[in-house]
Amino acid sequence: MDDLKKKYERRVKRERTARKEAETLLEEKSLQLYELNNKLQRQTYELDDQIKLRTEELEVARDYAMAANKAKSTFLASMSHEIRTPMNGIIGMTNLLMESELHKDQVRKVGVIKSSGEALLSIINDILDVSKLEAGKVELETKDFYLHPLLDSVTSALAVSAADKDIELLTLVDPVLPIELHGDESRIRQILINLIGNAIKFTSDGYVLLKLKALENESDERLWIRFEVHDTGVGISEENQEKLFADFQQLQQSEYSGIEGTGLGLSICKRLATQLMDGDIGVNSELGKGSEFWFELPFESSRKPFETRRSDTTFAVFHNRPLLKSKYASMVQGMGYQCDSISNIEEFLELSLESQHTYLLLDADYLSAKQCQKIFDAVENNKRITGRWIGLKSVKDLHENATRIFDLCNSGEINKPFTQFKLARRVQSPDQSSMILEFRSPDDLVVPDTLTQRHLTVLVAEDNNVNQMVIRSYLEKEGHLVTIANDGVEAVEIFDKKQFDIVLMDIQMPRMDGVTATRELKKLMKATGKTVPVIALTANAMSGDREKFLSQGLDDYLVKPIVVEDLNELLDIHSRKA
Amino acid sequence: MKGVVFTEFLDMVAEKFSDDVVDTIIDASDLSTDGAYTAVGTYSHTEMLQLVTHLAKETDIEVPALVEVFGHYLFQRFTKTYPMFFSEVDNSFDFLQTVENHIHVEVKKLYPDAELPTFETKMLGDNTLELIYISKRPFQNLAEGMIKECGIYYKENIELDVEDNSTDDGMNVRFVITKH
Repeated sequence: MDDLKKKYERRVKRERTARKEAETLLEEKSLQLYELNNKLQRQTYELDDQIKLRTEELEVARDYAMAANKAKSTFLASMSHEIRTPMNGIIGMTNLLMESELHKDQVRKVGVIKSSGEALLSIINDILDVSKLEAGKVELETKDFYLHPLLDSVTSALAVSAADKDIELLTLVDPVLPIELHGDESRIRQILINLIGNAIKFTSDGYVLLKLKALENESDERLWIRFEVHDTGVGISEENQEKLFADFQQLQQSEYSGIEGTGLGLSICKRLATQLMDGDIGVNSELGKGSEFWFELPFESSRKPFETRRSDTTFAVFHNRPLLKSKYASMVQGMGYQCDSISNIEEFLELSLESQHTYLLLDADYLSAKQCQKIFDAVENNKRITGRWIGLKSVKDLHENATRIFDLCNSGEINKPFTQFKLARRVQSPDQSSMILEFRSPDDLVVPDTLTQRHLTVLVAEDNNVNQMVIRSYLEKEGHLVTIANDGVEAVEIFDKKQFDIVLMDIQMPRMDGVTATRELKKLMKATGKTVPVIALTANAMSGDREKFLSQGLDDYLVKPIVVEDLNELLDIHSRKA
Repeated sequence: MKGVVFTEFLDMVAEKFSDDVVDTIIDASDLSTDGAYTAVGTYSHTEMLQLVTHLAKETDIEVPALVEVFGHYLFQRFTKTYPMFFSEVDNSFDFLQTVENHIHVEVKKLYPDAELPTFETKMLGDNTLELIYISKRPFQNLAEGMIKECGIYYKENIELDVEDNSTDDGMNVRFVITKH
């Protein structure tokens, strides 16, 4: 019995010892946990403090950066504005100088001044654009416009720079695209000019092709159009592609040395396409293999859907360069015409005598002397051979042979850049009713030079001497009678004494600003019962300014630097109204 | 009340009396765990009161005397289980002055929910220390036993003067400890 008891006692003792050890262990662990917990808490507090500190630092830095950025934008905007005013004087006076009698050498020098001035103005405009876009001050001005005349006017604007580098500028438009769109034509033009201008800059041989496609987008009721600018230029490395669309980025690639610019163009394009027009922009390129810059924009559904053109018209295209020949052929086919590519001049001449093609397309720029001779010989043999020839004419000075060939092309000529729209206008005869004929040509869109012959009496209120001179010479050249007022007060005094047909009113003037002066003039007009249009002159070309000026009693406005054609057009419009 | 007080108490009973006495007082009391205590647990102090009361009955010793003895015992045990608290100082006054602001702080680390009595101390002279015991529970005898054992541990000759200022709201006992 005692043995059993001892046995149990030993067991109890074992258990008790084990329990106590467990308890001790638990206390130790608890203490460790407590300490770890404390440590964690301390770290949390430290981190909290650090975060608080960093946040404060960041807030200060952010506020500073924001203030600095705002100051930068304001500075850029006001600097650009300040520079534009004297630029007005420089470019205006240079234009006048060019029209005076000059030696050949002087003409060259004045030409350099003019092109430098224009280059500087375009840089300033870029900077002004960026600061306005940054400040969110750019607004879209959407209206209906015709697509093809836009493309033609863009390519025409760049024709000389392309021709100077012997590059062909081509357009290829998806035939399913409507001919009329609703959007901000001038902003699209700005992007296109920028991208195509760049493509020309970076291409030394080959072509720049503007290609338009309709995009499939079932989830969006809007019509999406993709604009692509392909070139056969140097291309851009992948690394550089990423930097392209940032502000002030110019690529440091040896291939690009000697090419100038602010580095703002693509950044502006990106902001216009994405921020403003809800689209997208990008680039596909490989070094040495050319580039494709593209942007995609949504348009409201067109009111004039495209009608499929069916045509029995057939073309034969001859070109010495296979690449260009195939592009020309695609353009012709894209218009709904049949097209055969001809690989040698002999074949071209043979086909000219047969009747299977309605027209034969000939690019005289690329013909060799030998080929020209063959053409002249063939014409000598049979005069009728040239009856269906259409010549593509370069904007450059033509060599003698080319001039002769164009004279031979009896079906007319197309001025380069060669576009589908130009081709269609050339081909369609008046009795074939087609919507294309409803387009006005880009030439028609340009403000006509035929200005009113009426001589107007013009009051110019402008405080800047140079601007006074520039405007006076512009107006006097057209035969108008000019009276200058140096500020708003003077303008009101003079207007009270003399009769005027029109008033040009600078907005920012000492003593009395243009808006106040206009108000005074309108009071005088009310008294006499004779209305005289008052046109604002401003360097503030912000969107919405027009509405602002009009609401302040002005009849119209003109942006400085004054473009002589704009000035004349405005005078024409308002004098006719009066 | 912390479980260690219970486990040490039962250990003392087994040691000073016998395991049978332990069984008897456990059986006689109405306990939440039937007397199975662990040092790291927390139990109602009324269970301790029951156990002490039954032990008094069983042994014919007054409750206060038993509790004081337990105070001696508990202090000794603490010197063994938590030696670090005792080696930091070399005399009873210094030790007693660490209880409130050091030992209890450490206890709270382990047992954040522990309801500990407070020991306010104040030196009244070079050899006199005032210690005021404030608690919700009537264990001033436990405190007394522990204070006396503290003197023994540091090999000092101390004398205690007890002044009970307790009310119905709680215990408030003033010990004046004199070192000879």
